[in-house]
Amino acid sequence: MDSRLEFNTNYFSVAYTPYYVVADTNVTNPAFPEVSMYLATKNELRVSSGWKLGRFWSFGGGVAYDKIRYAQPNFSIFDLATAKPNQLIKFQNKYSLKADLGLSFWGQDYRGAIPNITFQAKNLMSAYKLNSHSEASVNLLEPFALFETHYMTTLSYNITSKFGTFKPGIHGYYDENLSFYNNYYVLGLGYDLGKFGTTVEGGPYKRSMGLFFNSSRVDMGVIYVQDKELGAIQDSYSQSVYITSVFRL
Amino acid sequence: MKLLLISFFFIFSVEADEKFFKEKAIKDQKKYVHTEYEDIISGGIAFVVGNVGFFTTESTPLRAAYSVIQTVGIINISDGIYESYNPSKEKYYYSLFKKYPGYKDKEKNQRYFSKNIIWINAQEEKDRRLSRFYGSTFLATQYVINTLDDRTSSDLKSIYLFLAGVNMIVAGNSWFTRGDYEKHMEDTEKLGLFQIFPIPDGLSVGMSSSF
Repeated sequence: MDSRLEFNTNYFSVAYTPYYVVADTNVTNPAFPEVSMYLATKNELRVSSGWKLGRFWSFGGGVAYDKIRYAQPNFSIFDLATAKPNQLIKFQNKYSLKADLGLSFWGQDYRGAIPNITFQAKNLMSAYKLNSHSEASVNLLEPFALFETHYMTTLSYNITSKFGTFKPGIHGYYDENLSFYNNYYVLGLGYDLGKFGTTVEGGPYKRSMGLFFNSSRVDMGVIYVQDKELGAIQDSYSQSVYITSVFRL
Repeated sequence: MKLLLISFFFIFSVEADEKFFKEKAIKDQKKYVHTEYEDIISGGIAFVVGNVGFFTTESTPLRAAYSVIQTVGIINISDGIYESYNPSKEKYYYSLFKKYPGYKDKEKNQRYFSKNIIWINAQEEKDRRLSRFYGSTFLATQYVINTLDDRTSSDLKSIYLFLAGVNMIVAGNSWFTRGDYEKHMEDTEKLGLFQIFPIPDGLSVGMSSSF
């Protein structure tokens, strides 16, 4: 579950995330059931802005303060008979003052055949670290490229015709050591016509479709997402719908 | 020689004004990325998606979101039609210069300009009023149709009925309230003042073929 309130001006944007909830469970060994869980909530206040650097470059940056409250319990189902849930699930808090940076090169404006390239550094200096080096099976439930420092690259190309603009692209994710997250890449195709836009994205662990409608006063978007945040260990896709709306003052 | 200079100055001045209106019309002309009908088409897509989404989903937040998309669609269609019929005042002013017959009689000149300037303003007022009337009428109709679906929650029904009522008031007001130029044009038409010079037709006066 996710929510975000944004206030945008011509110069900067302020966004507040009152709640962001991730909850995953995994039950193994049916004879002697063992439950692994990953539970996390996030509150965040973010200020961001962007600048155009000459004709072909743009730069964006943001600073955010967040509180991540998370727990990674691992217990036998029989433990529930002898212990209270709050004894089994112990939450930890992480407070971070973190930064995001983004740099875009508008290759198509520079020379038609060159794609547009964007590089983003997300959650720099975040206090939250992945526990993936630990051998505990519960750490398999921890989602990647969400709370921890990570990097993202996007290649895209705009094809404009009288029937609309088509925008094929690809996103890739990297961990804080710049190692590529295998199988987390996403291929996408966007389409724009006047005040209507749509995107279709697909990758090994993510499928989504978004519909976006703009008017002089209101922008509205509905995005349907099916994803496996936990990658291969997740059996079925979790489904979510995001509703985005922007009201211009 | 003096007469030649005055004529030259007059021609130069008129040409400068004509050029100004032409440049302003080009500058204010909406730059379409794909086609001049893109706002109407994208509004139509929003209207269809909004209705299909609204009447096929059970979730109340999604129904509310799709009804906003219905609204966005109707507003965009209405604005798109208005823009395509009434693109720019400067186009009309430019036409006014281009079609100026150059009467020798001062009174005829005054009547030519006053009549046509009033017509341009009246036409803009009328287009804006009718655009608001049709847009609000369709919105009111859409909100009433949304309330007819049994799956719409009672809270949403109340909101739709309120919005339908507001839009019906706006539509009624737009139908009955005419602006000063529009009223003046209607009154003088009744008096027959404009019969000497034919009132130009809104579509033919446009300068889209001129540049």
